[in-house]
Amino acid sequence: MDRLKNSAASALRGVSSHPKYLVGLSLCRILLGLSTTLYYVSNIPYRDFLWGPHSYSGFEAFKALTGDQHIFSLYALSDGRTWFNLVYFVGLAVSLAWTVLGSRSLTVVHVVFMTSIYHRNYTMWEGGDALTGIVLILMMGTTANAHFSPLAKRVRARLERRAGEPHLRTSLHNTAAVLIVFQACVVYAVSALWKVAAPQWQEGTALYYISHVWQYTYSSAFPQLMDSLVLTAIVTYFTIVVQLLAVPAALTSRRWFREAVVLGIAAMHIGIMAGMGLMTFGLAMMAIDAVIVRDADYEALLRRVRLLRERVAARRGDRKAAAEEPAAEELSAA
Amino acid sequence: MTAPRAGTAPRAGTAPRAGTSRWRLLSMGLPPLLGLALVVMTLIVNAPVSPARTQAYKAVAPVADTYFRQSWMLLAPYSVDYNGEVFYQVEYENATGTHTTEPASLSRKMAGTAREIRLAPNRMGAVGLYLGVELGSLHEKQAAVDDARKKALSDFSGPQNELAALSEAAKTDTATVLSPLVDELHLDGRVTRLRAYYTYTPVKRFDDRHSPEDPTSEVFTDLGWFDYRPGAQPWTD
Repeated sequence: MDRLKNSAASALRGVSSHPKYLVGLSLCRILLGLSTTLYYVSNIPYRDFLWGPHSYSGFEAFKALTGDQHIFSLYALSDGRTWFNLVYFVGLAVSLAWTVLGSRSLTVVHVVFMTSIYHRNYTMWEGGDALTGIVLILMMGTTANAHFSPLAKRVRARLERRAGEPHLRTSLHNTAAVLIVFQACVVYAVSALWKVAAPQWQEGTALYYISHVWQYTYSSAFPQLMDSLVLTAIVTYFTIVVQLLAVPAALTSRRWFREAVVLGIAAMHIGIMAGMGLMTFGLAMMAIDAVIVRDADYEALLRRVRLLRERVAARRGDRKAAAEEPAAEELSAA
Repeated sequence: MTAPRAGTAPRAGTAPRAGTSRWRLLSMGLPPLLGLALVVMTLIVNAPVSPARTQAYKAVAPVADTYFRQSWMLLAPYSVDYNGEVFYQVEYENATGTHTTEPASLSRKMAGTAREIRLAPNRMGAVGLYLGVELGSLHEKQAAVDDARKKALSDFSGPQNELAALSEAAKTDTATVLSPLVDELHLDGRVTRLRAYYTYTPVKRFDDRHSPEDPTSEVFTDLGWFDYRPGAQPWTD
């Protein structure tokens, strides 16, 4: 019994003593913030039509929906145009501020605004919006500004002070971070399993068909490239393979494997953004990919980059010295 | 109690420190417990359809469908292999009589609007897609009604009423989206009616991709003529 108690206490200490995934969550914040800010900015000229009081998605039906399903939305509080514009532009400002600063209180406010706008018009929902909604709710429990933020130094100092000591906030942070990684695993595993069972994905031509549906084609090069038997097969199978490998990548202790898979998934999303034009979707997906990579991986990556930079600098120095040598000899001879 | 040095973790398996009460340590378990509940909910929502899943889903649906919506099929199991498109026509009258415009694509117009700024596409294309899906669903509903009729089922009024309600909703949505576009056409006369229909064009099979023959389009759903809605919210100010 004592052993059980001790191991439970040890597990609780493990989860509540040291915050993990700090770099990944900071990157996640920036990518997700870019995605939500882009969402607001790109729709400014069309905001009234999409979400306004006289939108094609009727206000009365929306109001009834919020009442029936207990959905909270700031847009439901009034059907005035001034209120609508106020909520929209404050939401945009909050999104921008959260991307830059990323404090926990700002995360909560951002969640309120984003949930409000997503629920205002469900007809436009896509996978990226659903994922952003879920991840933002989970991020309320995390410290997402320990890096890449003007507040980062202060936040890291605070984390240092309580490191090693069990803390409710740390427990909340680690749990939320693990849940984001779990959500990423669910997204890729479910998507990959559906694909594995599908004929067009099995025969390696799925990407050809998608590229010839004009609503999903953003670049004219995309359908042309997918007309090639070899290319369409490679890209189709690559999509399935990297999605299938996401779960082992999140669990493994082999850093190179995790980095390679996340790089592959990121490449897939860059392809989706360029070929299909799904910018907010691609950014939201890459945001959760960033959390799969652990802090130690980022540190090792940074060390490698530093080493590479030093080597390049050393080589440049050698070349410069070699170039200067004959000139110095000539000078001394003169 | 003195604060521990930064970065020093207590050894696993040791007894709680004097300053860390048992209750405090237990409270640390609250977030993981909540997390576990969320994991279970996510697994239920994503599980394959089965009687057990259906039963469990009822319990989690209010939270899951509102704030943790999970839909990760992402172009699977069938990748989209057809082009669905909503076309429109406008009827207007002036001193010379009643005229009808040539059919034009509403879906392409909306997708074009969405792609005006290449690096930041807006959501107008999603509205076009939604209308396409809404009109396309009428085709399936009509097929269900026809099927029920063929089987001489005594009560097909239920599906038929549903079809009528869906059709009215599709007309209202299309009129609200289309009317502002018609206003921008500045037709030489008074607009009287609008018409919209949904076409289905399959993508050429992969093996026939180099064949010169284009696949033929089929009108899937025809909403017929419906009222123009003056004063509807313009697409943009």
